[in-house]
Amino acid sequence: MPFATPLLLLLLLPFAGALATSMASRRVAGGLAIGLTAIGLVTTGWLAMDALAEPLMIRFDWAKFGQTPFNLSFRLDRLGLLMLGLVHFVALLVQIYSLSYLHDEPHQARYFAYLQLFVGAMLGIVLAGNLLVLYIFWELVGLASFLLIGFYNDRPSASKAAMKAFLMNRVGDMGFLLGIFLTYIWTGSLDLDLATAAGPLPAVAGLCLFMGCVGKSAQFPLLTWLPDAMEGPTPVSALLHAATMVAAGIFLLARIHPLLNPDALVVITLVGTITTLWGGYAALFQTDIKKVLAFSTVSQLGLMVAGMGTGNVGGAMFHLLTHAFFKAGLFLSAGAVIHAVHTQDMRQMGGLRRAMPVTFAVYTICTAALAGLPFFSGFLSKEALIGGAFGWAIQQGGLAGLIPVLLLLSSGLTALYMARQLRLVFFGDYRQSTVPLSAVHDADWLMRGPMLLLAGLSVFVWFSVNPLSAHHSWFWSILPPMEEPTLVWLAPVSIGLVLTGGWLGFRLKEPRHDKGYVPLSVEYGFLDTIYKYIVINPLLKLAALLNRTDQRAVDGVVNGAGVGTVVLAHLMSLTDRFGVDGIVNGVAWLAGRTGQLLRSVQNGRVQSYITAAVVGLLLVLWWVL
Amino acid sequence: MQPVDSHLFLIVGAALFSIGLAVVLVKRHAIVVLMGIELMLNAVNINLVAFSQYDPNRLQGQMLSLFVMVVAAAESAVALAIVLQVYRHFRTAQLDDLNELKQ
Repeated sequence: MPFATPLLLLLLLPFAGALATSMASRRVAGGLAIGLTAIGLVTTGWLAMDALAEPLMIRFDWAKFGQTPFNLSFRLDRLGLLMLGLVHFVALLVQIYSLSYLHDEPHQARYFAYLQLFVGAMLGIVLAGNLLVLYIFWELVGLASFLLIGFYNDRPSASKAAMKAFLMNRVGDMGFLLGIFLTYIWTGSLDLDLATAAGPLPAVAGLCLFMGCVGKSAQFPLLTWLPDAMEGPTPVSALLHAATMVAAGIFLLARIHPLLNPDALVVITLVGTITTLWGGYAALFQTDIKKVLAFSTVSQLGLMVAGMGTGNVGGAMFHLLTHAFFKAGLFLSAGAVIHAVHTQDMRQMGGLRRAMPVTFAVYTICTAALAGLPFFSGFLSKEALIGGAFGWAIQQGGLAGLIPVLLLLSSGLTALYMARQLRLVFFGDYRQSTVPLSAVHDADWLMRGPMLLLAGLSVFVWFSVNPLSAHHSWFWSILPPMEEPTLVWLAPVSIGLVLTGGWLGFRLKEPRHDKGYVPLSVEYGFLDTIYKYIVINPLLKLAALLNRTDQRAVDGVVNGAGVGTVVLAHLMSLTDRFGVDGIVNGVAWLAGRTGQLLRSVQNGRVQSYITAAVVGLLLVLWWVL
Repeated sequence: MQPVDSHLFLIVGAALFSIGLAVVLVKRHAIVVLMGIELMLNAVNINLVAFSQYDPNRLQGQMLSLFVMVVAAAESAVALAIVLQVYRHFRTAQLDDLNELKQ
C-alpha cells in the first residue's frame, strides 16, 4: 500500500499542527497553520492521481472483544477526494483571511490551533471507512465547533452559544450512536462497504443515523444552534458553519445512502423541506447580517437534505460544493463589512457600495449564486436538485408533488431575503453614527484575495460549460447524476421566481416590528421558546427535584448514619466509663478500702494491740471452754 | 479456823482486774497505764491470798504474793525509767502520740 503513508500523514498532519500551533508564538502560528493546510492540499492533489482510478483502502485491527474484531479503516474514493479538496481549499482561504481579520487578537495561536484541530477532525470524517471511525471524528468536529464558537470566551453570550451548540449536537449524536448500534445489530459490521452491500436497513436504524445529520447540519427541529453559533469569529462561521462542518451531515447521508430504506427517505425529504422553508422564512426579517446568512445556510442545508431524501445524492453533493464556495464568500465579505463598520446590525449599515466596491462586487456575485441566478454556480446545482425532486415526485405520484413546489418556493424566498440584505447593507443611506462613512473602506489584500477567489469560483464556468444546464458537468464523473425528466419549463419558472423574489426584496419597505409575522421570523418560529417550555424548564425542575432528593434522601442517609454513629459512640463511651472502667475502678476501690481497713489495725498504738490481744484471748477462751 | 467464803474475794479480785484492765486499755497517759498494771497485779495477789486458805500450810500463796509485790516494785521501777526516757525522747508521754510501732 504505497498510498497508506501519505494518507495517514494527511490525517495526522493537522493534529500535529494543532499541537504545534498552540505552542507557537503569535507571529508564526498563522503562517504555520497556513503552511500545513497548503501541504495538505498538495498531498490531496498527489493522492488524487491514485484515488481517481479506484478507491484507496486502509484497514487494521483496533481492538478485539472476544471473537468480535473492531477495525479502523480509512477509505479515499472520489467523493472523499472532492470533500478533501474542498475542506483543504476553504480552510486555506479562511486561514489566510483570518491572518488579517484577527490581526489584533492576542490569542491567535489558540485560534489557529483550534482551526487545525477542526481540519483534522473533518478530514477524519471524510476519510473514515467505517462508522466507528466516522463517529470518533464526528465528535471531534463537535468539539472543535464548540471551542471555536466559544473562542471569545470573555463574552458570556459566546460561551452560552457554544454550550447550546454542543448540547443540541449531543441530542443528534445520541441518535447517531444508536443508529450505529442498530446498524451493527442488523448487518454485523460497521464497515461502510460491507454494511452498504447488505442493502437498506429498517427505517428505525436509518432515521437514527439521520439524527446525526439533523444535529450537525442544523435540520429541523435541532436548527436553533446554528444562528447562535454566529457568536464565533466570522471566518469560523465561514469555514465551519457554512462551508464544511455543517456539510458533514450531508456527507454522512451520501455515505450511508444505500442503508436508507424508502420510508426513511420520505421522512428525510420532509425534514429537509420543512427546514428549508423554516430557515428561509426565519432569514426574512433578521437584522443581524450574520444571522441572515446563518438561516440561509440552514435553508440551503435543508434543500440538500431534501435532495438526499429524493435520492439525488449527486445533486445534493453538487449543491454542497457550490454552496461551500459562495456561502464562504458571503461570510468572508460580511466579515469585511463588520470589520469596517464595527457592527453586525444591518439597520445601521447602508450605502456601502461606494465605500467598499470590492466587497460589494463579491457580495453581489455570491448573492446571485446563492439566489440561483443563471450564469452562476448556484443555479446549476439548484436546478439539478429541484429537477431531481420533480423526477422523484412524478415517480411517487400523489402528494409528493408538493415537495418540489415547496423547494422551488424556498428558492424564491432565498432571492427575497438576500435582495433585502443587499439593499440594507449596500444601498440607501449610511445610518451608522459611530464610524464615519469616510473611514469605511475595503479590507486589505489578505482578506480581499480569498474573497475574490471564492467569488470567482461562484461563476458557472468552473462547473459546467453550459451556463443554463449542468448536464455535461465534470462533477457527474464523481457521482452519477439522477435520471431526471427534461423539464423545459423548470429553468424559466425558477428564474422568474428568483427575479420576482429579488425585485420584491429590493422594493418592499421594512414592515413594522409589531406585526405578528415579523417576530415569528426573527425568533425563528419561537422554536427556542417552545424548547424552553417543553424541554428546558421540565429538565430544570427535574434537576431541582433530584437535587432536593439528593439533599434529603442521600444526604439524609449519610447524615443519619453520621448521627447514629455519634450516638452509638456516646453509648459505647458510657458503657466504657461505667462498665469496663467501673469494674476496674471498683476492684481498685475495693483493694484500697481493704487496705485501709487492714492498715487501721496496725495503727502503732500499744493500747489497741492490747485490746486486740485481750479480745482475742477472750474469744479463744470462749471457744475452748 | 473456819474458812471464809472465798467467792467474795474472787469477785473483788475479778473486779479489781477488770478495773485495771480497763485503765490499761482506756487511759492515755503512760503513768496511769502503769498504775492499771499495778491494779491487775494486786488483783492477782488477792486471788493468790484467797486461794491460799485451801493450802495445808497456808503459806505458798502468801509467799507468792509477796514475790509478786517485789517483782511489781522492780517492774514499776524499770517501767518508770522507760517512761522517763520516752518522755525525754518524744517530749510526750501520751500513748496516742507514741505510734512508732506503726512504721
